[in-house]
Amino acid sequence: MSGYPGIRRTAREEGLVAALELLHEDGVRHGPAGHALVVGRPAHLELQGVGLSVVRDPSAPSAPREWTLGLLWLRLGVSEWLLDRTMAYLGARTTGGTPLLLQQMVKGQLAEAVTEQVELSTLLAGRAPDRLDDPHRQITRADRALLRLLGGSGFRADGPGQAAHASELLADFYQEDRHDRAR
Amino acid sequence: MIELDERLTVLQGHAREWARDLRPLALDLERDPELVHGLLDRPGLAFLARAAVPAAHNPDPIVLDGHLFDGMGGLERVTFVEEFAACDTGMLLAAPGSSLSGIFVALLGDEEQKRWFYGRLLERPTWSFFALTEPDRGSDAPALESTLTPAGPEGGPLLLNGTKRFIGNAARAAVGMVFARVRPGPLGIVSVLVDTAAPGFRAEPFPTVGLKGNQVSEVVFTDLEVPAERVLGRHLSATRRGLAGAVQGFNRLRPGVAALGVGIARGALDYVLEHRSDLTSWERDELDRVSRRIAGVRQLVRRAGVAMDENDPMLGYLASMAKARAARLAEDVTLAMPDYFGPGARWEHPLLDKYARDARGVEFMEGTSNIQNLTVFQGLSQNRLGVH
Repeated sequence: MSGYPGIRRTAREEGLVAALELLHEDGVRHGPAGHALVVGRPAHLELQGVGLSVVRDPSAPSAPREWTLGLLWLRLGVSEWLLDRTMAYLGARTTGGTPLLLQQMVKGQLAEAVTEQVELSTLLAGRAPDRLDDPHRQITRADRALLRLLGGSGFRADGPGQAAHASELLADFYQEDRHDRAR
Repeated sequence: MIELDERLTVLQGHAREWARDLRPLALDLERDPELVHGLLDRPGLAFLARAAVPAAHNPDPIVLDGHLFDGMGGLERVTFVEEFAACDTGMLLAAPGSSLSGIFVALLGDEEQKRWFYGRLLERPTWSFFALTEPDRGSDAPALESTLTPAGPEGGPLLLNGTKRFIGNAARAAVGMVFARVRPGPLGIVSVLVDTAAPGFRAEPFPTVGLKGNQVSEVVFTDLEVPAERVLGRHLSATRRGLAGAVQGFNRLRPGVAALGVGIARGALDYVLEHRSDLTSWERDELDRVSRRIAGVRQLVRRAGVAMDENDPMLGYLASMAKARAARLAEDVTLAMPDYFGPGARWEHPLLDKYARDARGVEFMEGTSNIQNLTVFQGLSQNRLGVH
C-alpha cells in the first residue's frame, strides 16, 4: 500500500477516486461486515465521471488497521480537496458586490473547518489513536460544514458534494464493529 | 407547549396514514422519479395536489372527518409536512400541486390570476414550479438578472428571458411562477405566472445527492411570451408586488421547509426504533435524548406556524430560527442513526442512507442557515423579537 502522505496528497490533488485506487492497489479490502467501495461496475454512484461500486463479501477478512488508517488519511485528503473547492467557489461568487469569501460569518466557518482538519492531521501523525470512529466523525463534520457553504451547488451529484457522500459511505463501511448489535 | 387541536389531530392522523402508504415506494421513486405519474390516485398525492388552494377558490374543498382543510394554514402546513417528510421527503416534493407558488398567488394575485392559477391546478393533478434562484446568484436574489421586457406596445405581452437553477418539478410542471426584472434596482423585480406550454420554456433535471423525486432542474426562458395580466400583484404598489412584497411569501414558505427537517429527523429515529428490538438501556437513553431534541425543534417550527396563522410580525424571524434549527437537526440525527446498526448500515439500510442524503437538501432550500441567521440577527439588533 502507498504511504499515508501519498494517499492524502492524491486525495487532495486528484480527488477521492484516484486515492481510493491507491488504497486498494494491493487488492480490495473489506469492512467488518464485508462491504467495500471500489472503482467499477455496476456503478452505484458516479463520481468525477467514474463509476463506484459497492461489493459485499461477508467472508472476506476485515481490512487491517494499517489500511483503515490509510482510509482516514484518504478522507482527510478528500476533506481538504473539498475545502479547496469551497474556497474557489466562495471567492468567485458575490453578494451585494462583495465576494462571499469575505463575509465574516463565512470566514469563521472556513476557519473552523480547516482547524478541524489540522487537529486531525496532528492526531494521526506519529502514533495514531486506538479508536478511529471519532476521527471519522470529525472529518464528516468538517465536510458537512463545507457543504453548507457550497449551498445548492454542494447538493449536485455531478459536483463536489458527491465526493463527500462517497467519503461518508467509506467511513460507514469500514467503521469498527464496536457493538454486538442485531442487524 | 403548542399542541394540536382536534381538527389538526385529524389531519395529522390522515397524513400519517397517507405517507405510510407511499413509504414502500421511496427507493423506487429515487431510481425513477417518473413513477409519480402512476401514483396520482393515492390519497396522499391526491391531497397534496389539491392543497395550497385557498378554500374560497376551491369549489370542492378538502373535508376530513367534518373538518375543512386547504393546506394554507401555518400550523396546518407544518403538521402534514412533518408526516410526509418522516416517510419520504422525495415523494412529498414530487407531488403535484401548488405548495410553493400557491402561497404567493394567494398573497399577491388578483382575482383573475387566482382563478387562472388555481383553476389550472384543480382541473387535474398538475405540477407547478417556483423559480427565484439563478445560477450565479443563489443567496443574492436582489441581483437577479432574468428580464421581462415589453414585446410591443405598452400594455401588451412581455418577453421573459433568463436562466433559473435548483427549480424543483420544473420539467413536469404545467404552470409556474418566475421572478424577473423589469428595470434595474431593487424595486425593478416582479413575479409572473407562466404556462410551460408556451414556446421558449426549457427545463432540464440534473442529478442531485438526495431528494431525487423533486427532479431539481435548470430552467431556461427564451423570449417566453407572458400576457401582461400575468404579472403578479399588478393591482398593488411597486413596493408591495416587488421583492419586498415577496418577503411575506418567503416567510410563509419557511415554516413548511422547517417541518421537512423535523420530519426527516423523526423518520430516521423511528426507523431505528422500528428495526432495533434489542436496544440496550444506554442506547435507549441516547435515543430518548434525540427524541427530546426533535420535540424541541418541533415546538419552534409550530411556533412559526402559529405566527403565520396569526399574522404575527415576528413570523419572518421565527421561521428563520425554525428553519435553521430544523436543517441542522435533520443532518445531525440522520448522520447518527446508522451507528445503531454497525458497519455498512448505510448500504444495508438504504432508507437510512436516503434520510442522510435528503437532509442535506433541506439546508439550502429557502435560504441556507447562514442566511437565516442573518435574518434572526436583524430581528435581534432591531429589537423586533419581542420578549421572545
